[in-house]
Amino acid sequence: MSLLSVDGLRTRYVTRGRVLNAVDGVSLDVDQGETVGLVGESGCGKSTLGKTILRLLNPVEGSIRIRGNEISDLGQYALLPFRRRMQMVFQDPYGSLNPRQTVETLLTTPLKVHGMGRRAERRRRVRDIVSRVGLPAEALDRYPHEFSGGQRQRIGIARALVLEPDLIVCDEPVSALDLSIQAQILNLLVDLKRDLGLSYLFISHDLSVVRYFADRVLVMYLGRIVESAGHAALWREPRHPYTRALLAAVPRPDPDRPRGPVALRGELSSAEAGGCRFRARCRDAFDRCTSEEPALRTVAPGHLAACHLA
Amino acid sequence: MAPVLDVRDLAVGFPSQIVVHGVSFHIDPGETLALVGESGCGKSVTAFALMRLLPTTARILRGEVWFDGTNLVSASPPVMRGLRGRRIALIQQEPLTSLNPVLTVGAQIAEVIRRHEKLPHAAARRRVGELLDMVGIPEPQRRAEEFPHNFSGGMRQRVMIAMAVACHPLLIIADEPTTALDVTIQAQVLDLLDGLRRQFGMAVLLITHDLGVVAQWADRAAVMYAGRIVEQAPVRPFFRQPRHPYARGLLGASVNEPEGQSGSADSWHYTTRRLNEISGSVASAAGEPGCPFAPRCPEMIPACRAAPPRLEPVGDGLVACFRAAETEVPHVAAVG
Amino acid sequence: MSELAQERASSRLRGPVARDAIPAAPRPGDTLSTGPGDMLSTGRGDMLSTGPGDMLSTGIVPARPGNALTPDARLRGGAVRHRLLRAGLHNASFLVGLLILIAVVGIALTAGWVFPGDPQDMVGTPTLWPGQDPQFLLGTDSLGRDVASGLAHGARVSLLVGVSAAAIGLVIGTLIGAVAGYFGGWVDTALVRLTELFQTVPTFLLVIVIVAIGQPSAAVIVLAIGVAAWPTVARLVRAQYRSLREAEFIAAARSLGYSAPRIIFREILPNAMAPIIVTASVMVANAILTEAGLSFLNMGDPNLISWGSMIGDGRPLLRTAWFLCALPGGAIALTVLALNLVGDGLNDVLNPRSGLV
Repeated sequence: MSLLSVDGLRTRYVTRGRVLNAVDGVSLDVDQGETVGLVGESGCGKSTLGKTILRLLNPVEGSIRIRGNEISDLGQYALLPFRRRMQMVFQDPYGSLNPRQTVETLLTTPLKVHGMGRRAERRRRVRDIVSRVGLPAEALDRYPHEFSGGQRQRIGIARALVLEPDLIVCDEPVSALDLSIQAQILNLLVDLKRDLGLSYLFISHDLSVVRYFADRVLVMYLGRIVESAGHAALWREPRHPYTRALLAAVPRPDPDRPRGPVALRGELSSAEAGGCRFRARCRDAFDRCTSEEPALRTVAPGHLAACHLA
Repeated sequence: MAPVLDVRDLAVGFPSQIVVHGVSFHIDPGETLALVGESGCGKSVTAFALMRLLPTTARILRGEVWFDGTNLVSASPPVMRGLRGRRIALIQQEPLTSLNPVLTVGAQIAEVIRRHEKLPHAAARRRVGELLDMVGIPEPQRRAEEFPHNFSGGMRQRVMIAMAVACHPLLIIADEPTTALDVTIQAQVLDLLDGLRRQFGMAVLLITHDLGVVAQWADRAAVMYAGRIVEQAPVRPFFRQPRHPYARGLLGASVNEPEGQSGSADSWHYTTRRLNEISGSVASAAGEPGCPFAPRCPEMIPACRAAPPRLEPVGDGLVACFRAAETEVPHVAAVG
Repeated sequence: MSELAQERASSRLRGPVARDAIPAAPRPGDTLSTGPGDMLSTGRGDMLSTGPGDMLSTGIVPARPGNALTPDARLRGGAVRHRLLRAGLHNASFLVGLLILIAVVGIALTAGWVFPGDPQDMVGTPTLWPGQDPQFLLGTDSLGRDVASGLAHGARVSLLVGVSAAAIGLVIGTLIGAVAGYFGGWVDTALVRLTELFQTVPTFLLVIVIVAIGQPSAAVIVLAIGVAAWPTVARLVRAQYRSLREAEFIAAARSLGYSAPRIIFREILPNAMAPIIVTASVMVANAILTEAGLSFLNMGDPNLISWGSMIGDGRPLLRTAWFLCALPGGAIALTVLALNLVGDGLNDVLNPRSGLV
């Protein structure tokens, strides 16, 4: 049984009379001990997907199962025990911590809310967590504004860990950090996974980071998964034209490997009815792409792609 | 050939601290110099100092900036206003805040043109249409009548580029122009900028934190740390063999493989390789004499704490490090 | 001269090496931020630089790669409040307002000792001018009551009524605004309509109506003013909650399973306090004015002397004994001024845009 199992999930936004399916029929699994990377550009719905899985947003359709338990339709109160199993690390180190709370308050309140341990035990646990994420014990009495971005992100990670979850959804956790700090945080996440047996759903627009960090990668475009493969296979043999374009667009820090020609036309636009939603930007689109939306199908062992030409 | 821009010992300070400690570099006509560094290194302050656009609390403490025969540090405001937009142009990171939301895009570009060249309205409008076409905006005449919020991020940045090249400047300063854009759009925008640079023979000062962008679009790179340039070199020698420990650390911390190792995607995965961390943070050496990178440097020697090293020629470039002459350290072992 | 040599020459520092000033804690937070959840926030510290004014990260300074705290980092926690206080004290108008306020409060507190006895007692010759009789430094009114005693005890009444009414208004307004702002949807719509209903009725008239319905006692007056004043607070608080609920730390709170009351009162409220505090001072000022108006119209508590009632009683003698109106009138004006100055000062200090917080 998978740790997390999502099936046919749909999340809707309604603005000024227009209905937008930010997540439009997504299915994915995260197994115990696995890191699944979710990659896509802005507007593809990956953040919305992450928030829906955590029930910060409510899906209109589909199922979310944690260890086989259906949580997509649970009320906030019934959801409480499941919230311990999955937590989130947020993108913005400056907005994700309550500026008026000390680190200690920030970390002990979740334990209080979930009735975990008595006061002494909570303090012990919080001290332990803080040192695990590489911060000194004195940090507990400080306020968020006294820390740098990287340190704040460590606090955010500590907060996600304090309830001892199985699954952590990381929503662009290093995108706002400098390169050298990125490396620190990624190494920390790797160490925590190993030491605590965590599983990650790692959401990012940065292909390079996802390549490094994930075991399996899902590529998202306009609310749907267009490709799913192990990290090595995705890089060796991308099957979907969008994946290929994404890979080609990442500038390598190597002047001797010049960038290829820009493989995409135009820019992201909302999904047009019927047919493949990528066809407006695809150089290889042909008539079948307009009439029939390609299903996500297996093109190689463990490798799925949603393209008629894959 | 004389450089388009020649910065000599430029120092900039705020009331509480010095942010740029005497940087020197030059840009030749038609070349792209990348100013690379992480946040807090002073690269943006340097760029704004060049154009004399610093906030009122900041001051240029010393130095000269020679541009097209004029020292920009001592130039009068009218002279600077005549240069900005016409001879030097600025492209910033977030076009949403660089463009005036209540004016049409065409009006804003036309404003730049008519400010520096006395063109009648009709001729200016034609130029605007040509410019928008040149930067790849479809239906340029129609879209010139639209407002910034009708454009996507990438399109807005193209509009900014159109404004920047409108008067064929000698130098374009691009401050993280694609950081806020998706990677596929980034490639398009940078290619556009590069193409226009070649077409008009402009020089570009490209400020970025992304080493991939530096490798692909710059001719030379200057790495900044804590307000100082620590290494300066042409791009190929720099990536093949970075000399300054900080530059090496940056490249090691990158998740992308720098060397042209083909295939084997497994070699750059967390299961087989640990990222090279640079421990601590930029503030580590605040207020102390000596090299600002010393507390974080794996190769520090006592001399490093005594005085900050000067930029000296090593190999093809310049390095500010007492130990720069030695060859690079072996890679960190893979994680178990 | 070769290019390289030229470069070497120009890279040589002229003069002595400039010693870095020790960074005086410019925060890793930035001056463009307008609060949590602000989409335009551009952070500093080791985040990607997104604008001019690249400041060196001044987060906790590690002495060694082990990330230990240095001694001066330890001070930084208390330093924030300390800095705010100093900033407040440097603001001249804030200081003036604060001093006046302290004086008025002092007078109100000591009225019982300095002027024992009931200010309504007729203790002297009527209509004495200030200075005429050394026993009554500020004179007497038409009934022979001591003006100075009236002013002192009146200060008590005015401040009590002002603060209590403002407190009631703040509590009601904050509750309604918080609930409306946080939940949105039909709850919000209903509460907004309610707020608008109360706002369309002119405040003073509403107060008069309420007092007319009940008896004119101090308690009813306080209640009436509070009930009339809450809409302003509610709108303010609702706006704060609407923006703060989108903040990432609130999303984090929800993902941790925090209940709505906890989020409203423990997570968001401390962050929404700044404009509430500023509004509070203005509300006290308005309440004092309203109470004075009521008393002037003889609709106040007949058992209490207040500044407004003194002005009302002095009205018939305006031509001859104008000090009977001028003195309490001046007291009101001074107190209201002081409250406004304090409010402005608090706004400057607490406003995140000022760069101090």
